[in-house]
Amino acid sequence: MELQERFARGDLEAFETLFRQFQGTVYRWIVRIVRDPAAAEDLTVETFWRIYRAHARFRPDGNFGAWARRIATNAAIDHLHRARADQPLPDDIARPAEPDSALTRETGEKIGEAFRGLPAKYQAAAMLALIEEEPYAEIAAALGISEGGVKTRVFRAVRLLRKKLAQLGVKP
Amino acid sequence: MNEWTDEKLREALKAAFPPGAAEKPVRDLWPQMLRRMEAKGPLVSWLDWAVVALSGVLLLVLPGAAPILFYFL
Repeated sequence: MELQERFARGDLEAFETLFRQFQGTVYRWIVRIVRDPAAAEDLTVETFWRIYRAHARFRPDGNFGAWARRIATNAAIDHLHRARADQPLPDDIARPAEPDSALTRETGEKIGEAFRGLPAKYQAAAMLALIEEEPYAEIAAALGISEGGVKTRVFRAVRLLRKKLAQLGVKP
Repeated sequence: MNEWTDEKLREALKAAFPPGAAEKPVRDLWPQMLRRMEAKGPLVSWLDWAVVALSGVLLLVLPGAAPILFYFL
């Protein structure tokens, strides 16, 4: 019996094999959205927990990686929602590039603060589209929406961000 | 022009969120996964609970159906 078929039937060994095969991919995707390695590790485990619980709904002939990425995206958005504007990012991730950056550290921090204040689903779409430059088709698949839907979220994220930066008095 | 154009905003975001996060977890997460699974107990899907609930209702309403029900379960 194929690995994915055994997983769909609830076989723990098949699940472990898939976990080991995909944990790196899932972690990389999550850390690009949440920008926090420690949180990304926890969210990777949370993602696979959701995957394990949903094994019966997985079609053995389906794309496990794409399915896992979609569940991971939802877990990351849930995390952003909980953490929204709640705490600063870890220093090694949040620190603005220096010293060749045109932005001052203070400006970078304010932009980061404004960005983290956006609704979680806008943050995820904008992070992947504007910062990570992922193709819209991939973002759409991961978010479970159309490409047009992704563009709308990114557009709204940018509009909100401009408004917040204006309120904070941050200029380019 | 002293305003946030799309390009300026994109560059500012990239500077505020530079790459640098680890490309893979620093440790194997499987032990953590196992602890999570053990903490949550055995996996019982909602479908299993639904079958149990329906069987219970059926036995209450039609006690005579018990032999047939047990045969199929």
